[in-house]
Amino acid sequence: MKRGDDVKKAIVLAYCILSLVLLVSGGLYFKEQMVEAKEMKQQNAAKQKEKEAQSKDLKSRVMLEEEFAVLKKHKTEAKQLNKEFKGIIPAKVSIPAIHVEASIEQVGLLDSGEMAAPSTENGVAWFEPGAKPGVKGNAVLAGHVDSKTGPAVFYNLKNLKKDDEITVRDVQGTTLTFVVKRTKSYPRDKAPLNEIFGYSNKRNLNLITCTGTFDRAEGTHQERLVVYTELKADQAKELEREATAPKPPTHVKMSGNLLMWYAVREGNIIGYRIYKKNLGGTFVHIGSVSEFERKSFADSDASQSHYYVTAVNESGKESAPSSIAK
Amino acid sequence: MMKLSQKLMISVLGASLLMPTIANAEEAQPTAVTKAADLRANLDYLLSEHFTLAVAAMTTACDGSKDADAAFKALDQNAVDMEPAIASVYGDKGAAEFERIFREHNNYTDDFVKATKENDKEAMAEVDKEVNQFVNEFAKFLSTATEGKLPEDAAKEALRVHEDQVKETFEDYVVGDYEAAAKTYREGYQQMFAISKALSNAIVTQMPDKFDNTKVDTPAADLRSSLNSLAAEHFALATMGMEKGFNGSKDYDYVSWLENANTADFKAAIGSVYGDEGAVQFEKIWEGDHINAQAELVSAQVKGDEAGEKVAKDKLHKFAQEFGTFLGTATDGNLPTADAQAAIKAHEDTVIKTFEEYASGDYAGSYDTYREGYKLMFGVGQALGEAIVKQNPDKFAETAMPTDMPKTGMGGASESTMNPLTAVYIALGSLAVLTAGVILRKKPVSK
Repeated sequence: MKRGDDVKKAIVLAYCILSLVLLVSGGLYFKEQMVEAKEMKQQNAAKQKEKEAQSKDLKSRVMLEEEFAVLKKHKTEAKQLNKEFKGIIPAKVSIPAIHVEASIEQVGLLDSGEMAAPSTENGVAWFEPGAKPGVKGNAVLAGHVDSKTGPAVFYNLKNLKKDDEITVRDVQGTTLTFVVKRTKSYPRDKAPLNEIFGYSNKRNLNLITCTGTFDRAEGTHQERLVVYTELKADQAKELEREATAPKPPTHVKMSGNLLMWYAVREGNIIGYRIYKKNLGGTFVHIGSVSEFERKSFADSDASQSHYYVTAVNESGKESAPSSIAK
Repeated sequence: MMKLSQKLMISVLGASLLMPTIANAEEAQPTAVTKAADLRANLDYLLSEHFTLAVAAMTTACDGSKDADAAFKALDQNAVDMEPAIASVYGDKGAAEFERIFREHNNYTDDFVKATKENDKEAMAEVDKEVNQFVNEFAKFLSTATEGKLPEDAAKEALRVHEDQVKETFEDYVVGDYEAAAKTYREGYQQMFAISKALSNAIVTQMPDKFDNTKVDTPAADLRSSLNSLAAEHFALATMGMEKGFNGSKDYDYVSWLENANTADFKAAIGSVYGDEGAVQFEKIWEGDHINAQAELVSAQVKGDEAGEKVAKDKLHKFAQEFGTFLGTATDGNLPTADAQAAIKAHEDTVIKTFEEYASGDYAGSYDTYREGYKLMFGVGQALGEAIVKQNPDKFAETAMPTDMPKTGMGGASESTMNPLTAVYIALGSLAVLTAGVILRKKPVSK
C-alpha cells in the first residue's frame, strides 16, 4: 500500500515536471514564432514601401535604339505578337495547298515606277517600300508564273481557294499565317493599285503573279492574278493585346564596385537598366547594358548605395525591379 | 616594345619553371620556392593547362568552330611539353613512355566528340573502353615509376575523376546545360591541382635527396599552388569569356559566373593574409578596371567601336598600375611595386593579344599566346606567393599540426544544444509514455 502511494507520488511529480517543461518550452517556441511573424510583417511593409518608391523612380528618356545595341546575328527568338509588334521582314514563304516553299528577296521600284520582279524563277519578292507582313495595310509578295522554259514558283497560284493558308517567316522564326479571302485577275494596266498596295485597316498580304496570255509584243502576260489574304483571326487578336513585361533579373548582387546579375533568358530581352538610389531615396536610372554584354555594371562609388536592375524587351517593355542589392 | 618587356618578364618570373631553384636547406626561414615546390608548380601548370585545353578542344570541335584545329594542336603541344618535366625525374626512357601513354589519350577527345555529336552509342562505348584502358595503363605507369609512392589505386581513382569531369563538362555543354557545365569545369580544373599535389608528393618522397629534402605540402608551397590556381584560372576564364562574348555564345553568361566565383576565391585568399579590408580593396581594384574592362573590350570589338576599344585597353593598363601598387604596398615591398606592375601589364597584354588574335581569325597565334599567358600566371603566383611568405614568416612556419581539435570535455557541466521545439516533442513523448505506463500499471491494480 505504502509502496503504491510512493509510486503514485512519483507519477504525479513526473506529470508536474513534464507539464512544466511542456509549458516553458511551448512558450519559448510560441515566442520564437511571434518574432518570426513580426519580422515577416516588417519585411513585407518594407517591400510595399519600396514598391511605392519605385513607381516614382526616374526613368531614362533615351530612345531604345540609342540605349541598347541589338546585334542581328545574336537574335534567334521569334518576335512576340502584341500591340508593340511592328511586322516582320519576311524571309520564307510556304503555301502547302500548292506545295510552294520559297525564299523571299526584297525588291523596290524600277525607274519606270513599276514594282521590280523577283530575280529568280523559284524565288519570291517582297515589296520592301510597302507594308511589312503583319502590320495594318497591304504587304505584297510577287512571284513568276513561268520562265522561258517552264512553270515557275507561282505557277499554281491560280488554284488557291478561299481559306487556304499561306505562312511567312522571318529569320528569327516569327511565323505569321494568312488566309485566302478571294482571288481576282485584272488586265495588266487595269489593276486597282490602291487596293493592292495602299493602306488598309486589316493586316493583309497580297500575292501577285502573271496570268492570261503571254503578249510577245509587250514581253509580258496580259493579265495579273492577285490573291488577297488576311492575317488569321487568332493571330490578329493576339496583336491587339498589350505587350507583357519581361521577368526581372535575378541574383542581383553587389561585389566591390561591380553590380552583377543573372541574365533573363526568355522574352526577347535587348538589355538591362541599372537604377541607383540617390540621397532623396529615389532610384535613378544610371546606366544600361545591352543583352550581348557581360551582365555586370561597374560603379566607381558603390559604397553605401542601393541598386536594382530591370530587364527590357524588344517592345521596350521594362520588367519590375529586381531585388535590391547594396 | 611591348613584346620585349613581355619576354623579359617571363624570363624573370617564369625562371623557376625553367631552372632548378638553389635551395637553402640550412635556412630556417619558410619559402615558397624550394625544389619540391617547383616540381609541384610545374605539374600544376602542365596538368591544369591540359584540362583547359582538353575542354577547349572538345567544345570547339563539337561546335565546328574555326579554332578547333588550333585548340587540339595546343592540347597536343602541352603533352609534348610535359616530357622534359618527367625526363628530369625519370630519365628519357621514362619520359618517352609517359608521352606515349599521355599523348595518345588526347586523341580520344576527338572520337568522343564525334560519338557524342552523332549520338552513336557503340562508338561511345568504344571510347569509354579506351579511356578506361588509359586510366589503368597510366595509373600503373605512375605507380611503377614512383615505386608505389603513388599507389596504383589512388592514381586510378584520381585519373578516373578527371576523365569523368572532362566528359561531364562536355556532355552538359552539348545538351546546353551550361550551368552544370560551368560548375563541373571549375571542379575539374581544381582537381588537376589535387592530382599534381599527389603526384609531386610521391616523386619527392621517392627521391628526397634530389629535392634537397624539401616538401611539396608546406604551408608556403600550398599558398603558392593556390595563387597559381587562382591566377591561371582567371587567365583561362578571362580569355575564354572574351571569346564567348565575341561570338555571342549562349554560355557567355555562365563563364562570367565562373569569373565571379574565381574573384570570390581570390578575395578570400587575399583576406586570409591581409584581412577583410585588404580583401575589399582587392576586389574593387580587381573588378572595375579589370574584369569589367575586359568585357568592355569585347563589347567594343563586337560593335566595331574603335574608340571604345581604346578606352577599355587604357583601363586595363591603368589596372596594371593600380594592382601592382596594391600588391607592392600589401607585401611591404617584398614584391616590388615596379615588378608587380610589369608582371600585371604583361598579363593584360597576353589577355588582349589572345583575344585580338582570335577576333582577327589568327587561331594558331591566339592559342600560342594563350599558352604563353597561361604560363605567365605561374610566375605571378610564385612571385606573389614568395613575397607573402617572406613578409609573414610566422604564418608559414612549418609546425607539427594535428588533423583535428582535441575533445576536451564530456558535456556534463555544459548547456547542450537543444531548441525549444525539440524540448516540446520530448516532453510530449515522455508524457505519452508515462500515461501509457500508468494505464498499464493500473490494470492489474484494479483487478
